[in-house]
Amino acid sequence: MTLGELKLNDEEGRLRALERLEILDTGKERPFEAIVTLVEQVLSVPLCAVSLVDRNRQWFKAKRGLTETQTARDISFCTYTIEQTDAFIVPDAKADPRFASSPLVVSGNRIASYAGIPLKTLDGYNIGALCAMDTKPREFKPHEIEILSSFAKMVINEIELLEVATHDQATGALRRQAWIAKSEAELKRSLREARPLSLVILDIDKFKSVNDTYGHPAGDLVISKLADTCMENLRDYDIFGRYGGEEFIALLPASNLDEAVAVAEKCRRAFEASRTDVTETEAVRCTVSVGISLLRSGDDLNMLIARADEALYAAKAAGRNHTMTESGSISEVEALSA
Amino acid sequence: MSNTALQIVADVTASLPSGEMPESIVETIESHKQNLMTLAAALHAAGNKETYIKTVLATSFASFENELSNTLRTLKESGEIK
Repeated sequence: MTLGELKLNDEEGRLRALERLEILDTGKERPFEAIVTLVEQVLSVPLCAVSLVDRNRQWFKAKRGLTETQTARDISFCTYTIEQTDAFIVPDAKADPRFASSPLVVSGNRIASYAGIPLKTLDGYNIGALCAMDTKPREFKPHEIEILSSFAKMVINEIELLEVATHDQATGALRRQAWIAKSEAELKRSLREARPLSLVILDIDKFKSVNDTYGHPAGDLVISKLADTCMENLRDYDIFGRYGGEEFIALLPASNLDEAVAVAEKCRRAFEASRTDVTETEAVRCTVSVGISLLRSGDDLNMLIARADEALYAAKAAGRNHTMTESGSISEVEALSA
Repeated sequence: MSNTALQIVADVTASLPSGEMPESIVETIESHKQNLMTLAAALHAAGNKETYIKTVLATSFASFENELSNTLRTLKESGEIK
């Protein structure tokens, strides 16, 4: 079995690759809109979409002619496309037993024919498809498939650019501006739905001494170690970003202070227990201080960050390697071990 | 067609920014150029005229260029490139 075939069968890896892009449920973006417009015009199709295939649904990043923003995965054509290395074509959906009774075929947009090209990321996973559909049976010609394939690769180019623009390339965390944009949307949602929301700021202790002793490349390795540690211990739906040089920030949806402390403590303890190889023969062990705030009625993001920052300052003042909440209470775990 | 496709791609990508760029961006730009070449050849094989092919490629490139500019601006602001 080739590596490509292994990745076709690695559904969890595929879902992680999709999740890393943080593109699901995002708004309209011009590059993707431009590509579906071109597909619609060049191939003369009434229906087309950039479809991203999540665990149980397909979600459309851009679409033309389709009424839904998403559909169940098990009725979708694109779930078949992502199992392919090249085009998946259905010339007559009503004559194909896999789709003949699908709601997408017998009602709604009445898809009668389909051509989809897998959207394959640089790390080799098919995260979705660029698809062109017609409301009548249609034989897609080889040059039409070639055109659709070129547009599919352009979708991937756009996703790559977006990824560089929104993610810190050294650590994989969201860049500050991208983190703020996502977090502001989540904060508004939490206020609207009256759900708890916590914010965690983490800052590496005595980081300057790592740089001074081992040099900046070693410091960069320690920063990456903290980012990796946080990403391993945060939850799928937490929003994690690099806020400054050695400072990271995470927004924890649906989390009260106790839950936030539990998550933050997992990160702090895991980082404390880890070592970073800074040379072939030397490894350093660093710690991190953590400040946590809880969303209050009337808060904006800056207010939430400011209170977490104050708590971080208090954690540093308390001797570093602590988790402190905005109420000034040292984390329970720390209190017990003090 | 390959010479024509080359010329069309060269024309529509003439405004690409130059200067220091991370390797990942350079690779994406090269990949995009290659995709434009393939698209030009496929549109030609479908019997389209050169003016139409140029329009499609220019539209395809414009949105990419816009996103590229945004990305390079972000990298400059973060100090990753000068």
